[in-house]
Amino acid sequence: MLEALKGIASGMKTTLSMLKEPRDTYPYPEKRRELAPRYRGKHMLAVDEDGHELCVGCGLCEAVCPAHAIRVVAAGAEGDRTVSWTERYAVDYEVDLIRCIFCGMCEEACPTNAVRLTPFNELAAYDRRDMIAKKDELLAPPVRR
Amino acid sequence: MTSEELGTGGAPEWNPEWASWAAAAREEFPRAQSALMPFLHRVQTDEGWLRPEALDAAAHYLELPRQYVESVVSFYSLFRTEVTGHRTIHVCMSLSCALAGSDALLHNLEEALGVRVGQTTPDGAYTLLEAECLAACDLAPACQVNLRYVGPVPPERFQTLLEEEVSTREDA
Amino acid sequence: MVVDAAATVGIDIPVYCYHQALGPLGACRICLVEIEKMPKLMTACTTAATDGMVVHTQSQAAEKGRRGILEFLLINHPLDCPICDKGGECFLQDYVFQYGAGQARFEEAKIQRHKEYPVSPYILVDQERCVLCQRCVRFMGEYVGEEELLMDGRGVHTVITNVPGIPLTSPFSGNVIDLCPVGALLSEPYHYRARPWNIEREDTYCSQCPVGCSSSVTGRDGQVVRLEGRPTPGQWGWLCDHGRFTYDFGAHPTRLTEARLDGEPVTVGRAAQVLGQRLAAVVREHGPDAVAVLTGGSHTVEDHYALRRFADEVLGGSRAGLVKPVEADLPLALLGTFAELDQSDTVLLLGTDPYESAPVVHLALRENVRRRGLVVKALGDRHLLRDTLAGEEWVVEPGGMAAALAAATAGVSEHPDARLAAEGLAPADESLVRLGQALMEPGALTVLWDGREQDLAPALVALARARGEHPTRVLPTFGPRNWLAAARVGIPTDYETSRRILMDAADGRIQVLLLWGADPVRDFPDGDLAARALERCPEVYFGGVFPPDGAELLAGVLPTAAWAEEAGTYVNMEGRLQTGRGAASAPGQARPTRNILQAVARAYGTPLRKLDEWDPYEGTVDDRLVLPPLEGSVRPVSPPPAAESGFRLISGLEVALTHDPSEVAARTKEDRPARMHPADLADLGLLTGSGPVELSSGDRSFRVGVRGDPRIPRGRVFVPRGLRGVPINRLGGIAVAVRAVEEVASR
Repeated sequence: MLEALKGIASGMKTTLSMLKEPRDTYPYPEKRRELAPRYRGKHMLAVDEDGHELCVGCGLCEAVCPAHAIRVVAAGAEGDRTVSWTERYAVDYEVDLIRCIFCGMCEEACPTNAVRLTPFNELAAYDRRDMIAKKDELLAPPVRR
Repeated sequence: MTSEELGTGGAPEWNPEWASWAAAAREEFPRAQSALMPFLHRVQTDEGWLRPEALDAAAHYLELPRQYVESVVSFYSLFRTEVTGHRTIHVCMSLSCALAGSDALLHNLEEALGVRVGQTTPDGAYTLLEAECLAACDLAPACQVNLRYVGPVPPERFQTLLEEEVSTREDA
Repeated sequence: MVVDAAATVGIDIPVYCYHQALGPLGACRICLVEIEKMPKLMTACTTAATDGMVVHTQSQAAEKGRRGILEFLLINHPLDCPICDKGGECFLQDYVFQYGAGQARFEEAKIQRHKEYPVSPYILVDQERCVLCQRCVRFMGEYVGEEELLMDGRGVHTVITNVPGIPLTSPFSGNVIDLCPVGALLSEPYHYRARPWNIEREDTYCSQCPVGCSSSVTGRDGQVVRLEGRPTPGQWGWLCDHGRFTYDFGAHPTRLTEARLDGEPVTVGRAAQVLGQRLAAVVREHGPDAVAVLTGGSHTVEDHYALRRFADEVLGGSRAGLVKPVEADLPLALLGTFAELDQSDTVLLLGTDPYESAPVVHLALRENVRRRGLVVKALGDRHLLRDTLAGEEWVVEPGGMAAALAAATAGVSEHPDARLAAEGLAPADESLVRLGQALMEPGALTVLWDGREQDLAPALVALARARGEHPTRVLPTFGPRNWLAAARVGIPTDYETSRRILMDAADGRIQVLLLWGADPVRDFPDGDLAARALERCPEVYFGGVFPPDGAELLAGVLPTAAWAEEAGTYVNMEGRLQTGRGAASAPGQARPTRNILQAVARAYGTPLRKLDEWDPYEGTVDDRLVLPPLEGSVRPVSPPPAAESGFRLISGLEVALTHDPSEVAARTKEDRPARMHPADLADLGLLTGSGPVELSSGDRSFRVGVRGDPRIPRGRVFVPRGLRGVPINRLGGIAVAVRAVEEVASR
């Protein structure tokens, strides 16, 4: 009996002694880690000050992507309705966030600085299909709460 | 329109004389390509500029592709394809004339006529144009009114260009 | 030229303006090289290579020259590459990357010009991107002879454009898209559709006419989005617009994508099962002669092979035949090649205008006329020559070509076969003797023939025999595209076989008729017979890409994969085998013929073995069919039909109208397919030069849009064959009544 209590006390001593040590874990989501300013998380598509998309649908990001995670379908602007700042724009722009390795090469290849990787890293979903970010989603940059 | 549809008389808006002018040009220059320029000059002297119909007619009478005619007309800057006034004023903008104040002269003319360079007054009286070197530096700033040399014309004496008795197109 | 000499030893000298087919010009100056003993840099494209010449293409001076030229070219070139369709396959991009300076020194504003300026429904010009190499202008003006593009302006303001209001209409205009080395001339249908790295681009051959032009097909996301010409040794890689812009036919709304049984949609597997069981029951009861197979000659050689073995091995020897839109049979021994055409001393157009029936052959002929002064001869029932292809022509009465050819041959030759063919014909008059003399000239003769008039076959054989050792070659300009595939696998291609099959079907001796891509009611020269066959035959099954005329009479429909949806071999009009690869996927349930036939064979109980082990090229020589020797006797040619009063119907084949249904190519599709002399139209009261008319013969009549064409002789109506809704093959005789009718409100 005494032996058993001694054993417990010895164990608890180790446990309790750790209470005053500095913590390595975070109480996520109440408290969040500070990320490096150039951290590469989820993509966004930028718009200029007039609200025109910067993306012209050139597909260079698609070409450079080592994980084949990006799909771009371009089209010409119809009539006066300009979506991007020029006559060509991306009708479809999809990033498969499961495939993406967040290497940032799309950002580097982009001639119009439209694709940018935000520090947003809270990527989780119940369905794989939800992990394919469509254009609408990318145009509204995610905010880290 | 194909030549079959046009027949020999041409379209209604064509000048009936054009056929004979084309024939005359062809007489002088048996090659159709060579006859094109004299014909176009004659039409331009007559009307002041080359209507699209005139180019159609040139292609038709001289049996040249319409595209060839267009190409030639666009190549030479003295062929006009826009409505031209009775007096066409060219102001030389090259070095000697520029030093002698052709900029100011042109500006004054623009003010007086109320049109920009390259334009024709609404009443169809004047067309104001820039010219590259007219090879008349001794007359700087040199001008042409209906291709006749006038100069020197100091900027403040621009009025002479508008009033001076020169042969207008009607007299030519 | 130095450029070509360098290319033969694998040294690449950059060029924009130079194209071997167009000859030297020296407009772009990008090909500057240093040649020893010449004081300045020389343009490699205008300098002839000579013995002992020492050329430096990589010397400091040459590189500096190129760099300078590129800098000039870029002065007014916009930084458009991300939105340019040519981005990634552009010679300006490539050369600047390879030879250009890294930095531009020009800081002034660039000149702004038209972008996306349409010069035709298919072609956009981006004048800012143009480097003024003039390839397009020279191709249209000199090579094609239809000067539709021009250079407008002078100096730095020069642009490529058309005359306002006169768009490009030439069927060869699409080639300027391929010719343009930069992103100035763009394909409107391909505009912004894809980029070089997200497409599948495969070697193929055009599917729309038997010329079989080598081309590259571009697929994206399973759909064909572009067709480009592909130069091969001996061919420039030209395409006609009918072929180039029909690439989307696989996605046309009328395309068959589901199987049907008695009009009800079913799965392909189910339809194949039912067909197999039905065939088994019919063959068991009536024998293999109660089943017949007719191919339409559009499927691949491999498919035809499967079809042939299906008829032979599964059905146990059922008859097979080919449905083609012409009544005559080509003596295969006479089949010629394009290389022979290029070396022929005489070329005869026999009833065919290649500009309409095989457009790229027209370009080949024109090049021969320009290069070596070939004088083309033409014998037809209408004027076959045109402004861009001069020559000498003989226009005969409708139905009189065979008699004229036989008489012309007999007029100058003593050969017994020539005599026999012309037996009972009026002797050749002076003009026909002149034709005979032209055809009997020593040297090689190539005849382009569109397969009309059955008696032309014996007349051609007689001509070939009369010419003796001087080669006589025939290039058939008639379709279907792949009819020679039937010849390759041993399916009879003659008119008589298919006529007998249809007769037996019409008489009720055939229980099941299997149409594979065949549309007999539309294509077969005797349309009434074909219609009767479809009506009387108890069960007609169809496998193919587009539903045939009389689809409501079909017991079952099986959708097959089309061109560019699978790799497959085609045989062109030279008898040359060409294997094209797929770049798209078949829509819906459409499947390759081989798979469907195999499924039917399994349901029948006799699966086909080792179907895929067969090699279409086995036993061919130089990828060409082995031709049989010229044998058989010549029969006398029947005299031409007596001249009658009133209008007479003449016909021919026109790729522009009979190509597969296409939404892209519909932009310029002519809705007045028939043609008459303008004076005849005026006599009918159609003063605008076109309008709908009603053609009637006996109790048959149909309406068709007609337009004026002075190349049609007076008193004749030209109606192309094989058109949907224009049943010329059901009109009977060649004497027709023509009546102008009111414009139908819905059109």
